[in-house]
Amino acid sequence: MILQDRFRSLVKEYQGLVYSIAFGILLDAQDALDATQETFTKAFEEPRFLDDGFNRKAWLVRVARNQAFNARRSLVRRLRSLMRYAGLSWAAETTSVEEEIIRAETRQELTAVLESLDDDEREIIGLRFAAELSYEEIAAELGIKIGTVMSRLSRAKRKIGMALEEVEPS
Amino acid sequence: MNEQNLQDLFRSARQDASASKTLTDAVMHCVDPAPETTPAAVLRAVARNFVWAFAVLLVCAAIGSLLTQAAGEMSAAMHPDFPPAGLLSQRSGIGDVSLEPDVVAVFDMKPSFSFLEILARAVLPLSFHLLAAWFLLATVGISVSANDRLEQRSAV
Repeated sequence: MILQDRFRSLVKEYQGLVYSIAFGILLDAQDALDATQETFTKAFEEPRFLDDGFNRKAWLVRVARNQAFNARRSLVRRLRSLMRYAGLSWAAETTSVEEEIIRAETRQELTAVLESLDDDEREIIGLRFAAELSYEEIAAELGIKIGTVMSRLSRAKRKIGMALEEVEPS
Repeated sequence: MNEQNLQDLFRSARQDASASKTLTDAVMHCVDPAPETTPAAVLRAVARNFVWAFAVLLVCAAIGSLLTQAAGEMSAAMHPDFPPAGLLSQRSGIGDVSLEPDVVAVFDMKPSFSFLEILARAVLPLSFHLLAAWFLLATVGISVSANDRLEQRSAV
């Protein structure tokens, strides 16, 4: 049970990071919750996760990104989106979760800002602002050059700015 | 919106998610062990699974039997004279192996079975029986709890 308690304390420490990265990519509270659960299930099965010298943040960021992109591709998610689009609710969907994990206004603002971006741009914005990684860390994480990181970030920021300018008059 | 606003938005989202007990509980629910792992609890769970599986087995088997019976009746209605009565009477004689030409002609007229008939006569009843057997095998089982895995890992 000591290990269980230790794992719980690590979940509490990193759940915000993992959830915000997943939400930044998926823009859906329920999907982000699923991805967070999957990420920590993998962490639970990772033998090094409880080791003191293990770089948990880097590992969790990578797994959270992978889980979020897997979720984007999943058939269940597409079916859920289709049903939502058709005005039907998903049986396993818990609306209270959406209300409780992130405050509604924060969620709506983030969604409004990020929905105009494509996957790559959302990912890099998430790494920069949700995970608060440096340019070097992002470059290492994505396996690209720092210059590419900067240009992608700049393009994403420009896009966000443009999107907001279009919305503001109304 | 500037960079600071976006930073604040994500920080706010992170803080909300970090403080969410719902999220912690949802995550821990995926990795928590079963609440009871004593032998008696395991036996109770197996017995409960068995009762459930057996009930489904009975229902599936009953549906399969009904379908088999219906298929037999349907077959009799569609092919009332198969095998031909003439052939049966000819073959009833002891040691009588030679058939008259008209009887051979009747014997050669094999009844044709439509796809739907094959489905109704064989595939559906059989699939229900197979479903029943699969359900029985699949439902009665015990999985190793997450706690056991964690304990094993800590022992290593």
